[in-house]
Amino acid sequence: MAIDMDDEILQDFLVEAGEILEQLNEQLVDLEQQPNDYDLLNAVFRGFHTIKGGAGFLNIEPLVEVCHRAEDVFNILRQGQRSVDAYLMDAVLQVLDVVNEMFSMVQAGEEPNHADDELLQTLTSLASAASAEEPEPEPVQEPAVPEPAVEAVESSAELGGDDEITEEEFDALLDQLHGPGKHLGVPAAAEAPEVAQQAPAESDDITEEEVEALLDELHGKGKFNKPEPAQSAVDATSDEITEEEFESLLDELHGKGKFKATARPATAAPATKTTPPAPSTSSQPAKAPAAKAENQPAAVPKTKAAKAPEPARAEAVKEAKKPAASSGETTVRVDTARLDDIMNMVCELVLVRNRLATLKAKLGDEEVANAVANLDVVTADLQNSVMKTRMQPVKKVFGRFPRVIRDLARSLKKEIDLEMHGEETDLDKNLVEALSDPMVHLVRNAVDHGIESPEEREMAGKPRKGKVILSAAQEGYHILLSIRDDGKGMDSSVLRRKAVEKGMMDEEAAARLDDKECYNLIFQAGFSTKTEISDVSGRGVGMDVVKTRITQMNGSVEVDSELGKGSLITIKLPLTLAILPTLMVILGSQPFALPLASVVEIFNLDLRRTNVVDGQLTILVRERALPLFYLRKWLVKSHNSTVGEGIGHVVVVNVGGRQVGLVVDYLVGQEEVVIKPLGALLTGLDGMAGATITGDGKIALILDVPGLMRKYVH
Amino acid sequence: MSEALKTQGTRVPQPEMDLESVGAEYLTFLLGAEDYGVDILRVQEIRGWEQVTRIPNQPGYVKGVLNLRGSIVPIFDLRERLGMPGRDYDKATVVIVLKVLDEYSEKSVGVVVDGVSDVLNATAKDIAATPDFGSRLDTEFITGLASAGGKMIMLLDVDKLQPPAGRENDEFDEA
Repeated sequence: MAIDMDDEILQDFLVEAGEILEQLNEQLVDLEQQPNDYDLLNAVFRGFHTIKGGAGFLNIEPLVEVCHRAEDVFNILRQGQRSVDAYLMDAVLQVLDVVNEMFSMVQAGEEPNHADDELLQTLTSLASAASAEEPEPEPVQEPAVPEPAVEAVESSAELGGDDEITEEEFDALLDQLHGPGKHLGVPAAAEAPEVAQQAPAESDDITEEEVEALLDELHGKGKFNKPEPAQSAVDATSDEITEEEFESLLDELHGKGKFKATARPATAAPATKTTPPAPSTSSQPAKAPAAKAENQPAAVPKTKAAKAPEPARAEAVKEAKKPAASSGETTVRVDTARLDDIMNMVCELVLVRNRLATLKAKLGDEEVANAVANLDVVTADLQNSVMKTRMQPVKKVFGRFPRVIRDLARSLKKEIDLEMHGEETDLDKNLVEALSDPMVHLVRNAVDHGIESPEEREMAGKPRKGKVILSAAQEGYHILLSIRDDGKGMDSSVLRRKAVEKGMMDEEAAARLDDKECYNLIFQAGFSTKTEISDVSGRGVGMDVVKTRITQMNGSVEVDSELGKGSLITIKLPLTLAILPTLMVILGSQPFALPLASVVEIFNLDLRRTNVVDGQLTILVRERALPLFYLRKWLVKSHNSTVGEGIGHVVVVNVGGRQVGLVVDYLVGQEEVVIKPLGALLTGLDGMAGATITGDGKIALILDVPGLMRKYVH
Repeated sequence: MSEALKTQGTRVPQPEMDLESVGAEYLTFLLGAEDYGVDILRVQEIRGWEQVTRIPNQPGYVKGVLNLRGSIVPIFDLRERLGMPGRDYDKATVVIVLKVLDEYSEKSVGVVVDGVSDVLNATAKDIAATPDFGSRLDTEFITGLASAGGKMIMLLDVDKLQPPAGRENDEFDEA
């Protein structure tokens, strides 16, 4: 196995590269929108470079190769020798896909395959097309395409001292170190506001380790640069520097720049303190070797330069620890499994609390009551804090959409703007993961089915560019996500006809559906209005799965549409998956829990208001007829079903946009329960979402209302 | 690290060898007049019968679920699972909580039996292959027959107690 380096280094690389890849995805799409954004170009360049550096260190050859070429391309872009166009973006996005693929292979502990030759060729041509414009000949003699900086150095050396490019290179390099504009003479102090700005954005991702590492980098950088230029001056005539050496040197420089970027947020205070000395020590030394390399491209000492960082680093570690400790603003990276454990224990604690609360009522002792009330508060707080630790911003889900939309728009030849709101809304980690696939599907649908082609839009008197708006917001204990498009909307009569054609219902039933019910037909299995299957959508498999997934998360999904104006899909989710607010009811003698999310209202059953319509028992509530079902008949078979008919309470629940009344024997009240799986050992659990242990130690089954309706009503 | 894991993973205990030389221990119990045994290493605990929480729409042999210190354990009536007529539970009725393995995980299941009797030590030569019982008893659960003290004891395959693999997960239209 090639990838069994020091585990820690590999892990660090995976974490870091993973974050960079996520960022790159967004940055690249942004770049296409703003091709002249120099900062963005730099950021992308830096991203590829950092991955390359890490991969090179871990000896992951294919990854290095492809990143390297991408870097070449961006280097050309940065020098303004080529501008961003769609062809280039396609190639670069493809690179990102390849890199992502390799990355996941590395994650799985496999050696990634080499990138497609064709892609590498494309990249080389993209990088060289521009260099051809330069007076310098392309250094084709190099089998592996050299690091751009080196390339520039070498080629300029060949021509006998055209310094411009190297200067530029190193300026750019200094950019990496000090942030853009630095080399133009902006004082170090100017970084302070930047620090403040970046702080909230990234602070949660930084671990203590990382902070230390980057402090190392900060100090170590300053450190190793001091000895290095001195030695390079002395040993100017010593043996030739290899390309590798130079690259690792550049990596140090770049890497440093990168680390600083992430460093700022976490250690805002120490970073600002340490930053000013760093540029003062590093900017000059960095230039010194630059000048060196430029005059004698092969003159940087091989052995010393490589060795110098080591001791300096060691010293820096000691130094770095002090500010890190004193700042007290460190974060810790925690295994999610451990978080899940904590969550489980908190859940158990909630159960014990519930049990105590039941006992409290029995005992009636005031002191006990006080203690229990206290415990109640503490548990609730604890539950909240633990939940917060598991929260992640919705951005994690949304982040991939600019890319998804861009690719789709290009392949479908549509023009689409994406707007995103409320990306900072926090969601439970599990939800973020579970949401990802359904959301992608819905967005794809909005683009494929919703937005029309530019020509159609113009004919309809709309702007050429379609718009897709994603938004997220927290509303009480729920998260609302919505996907809105300004496309052609849905035609309820077409939907009705389709439903009849597909044999899902007869014409009469279809005619009875109101518009909203029609729109919800799209969530039925096998329902697709697209007559042809495209590679984007049209198989009619997706939407019902989306619905199922969201229902599994105790959420609901609704669709609304206006013909010619667009559609809106709203997903409502609970904040967390683990603890579920429920309404406890009793059927026969057994407790059952109804998820509170679906409960609309409760009232006493009044037989005078019931009617049998079309064989279905219904009840009139505020002039509306609700179908009425006796849960007892479904769930408690042993119970004599005729006994007690007509007495009870009605719980009105919302099932896929429809309201139905469920008759239960007794209402117990609202209770937060912990969902426990009923397990794979049982089958036929449709209608059961799980089980929970009630305050008195009994087991209550948690009902899955949509599942129940599917099982019993149709 | 992963290599270390792999070697650990491949180091499987060798029950066959143990059977040859030392033999394995079986917990024996009664169902009607018949004696059955299960590998004692699979037994998690033995507890008296208590009322369980019934679950709707389950096959007859599923009596319900039990709260076993915070985890939910399904309870099967072994008589009915094996196709024998059920009987009323009494003081001797016990629930044996067994560990069931599948490819992914270990789960617990409780089986209701008429009563536990003994622990049997059987070596490989004591165990005969399962004869054909005819249609009265489903032999798929029986791994072999052990004779002890003039009695025949049917050895149960614990993992077969769970119902056949469940439905597959929905797949996304990954177009």
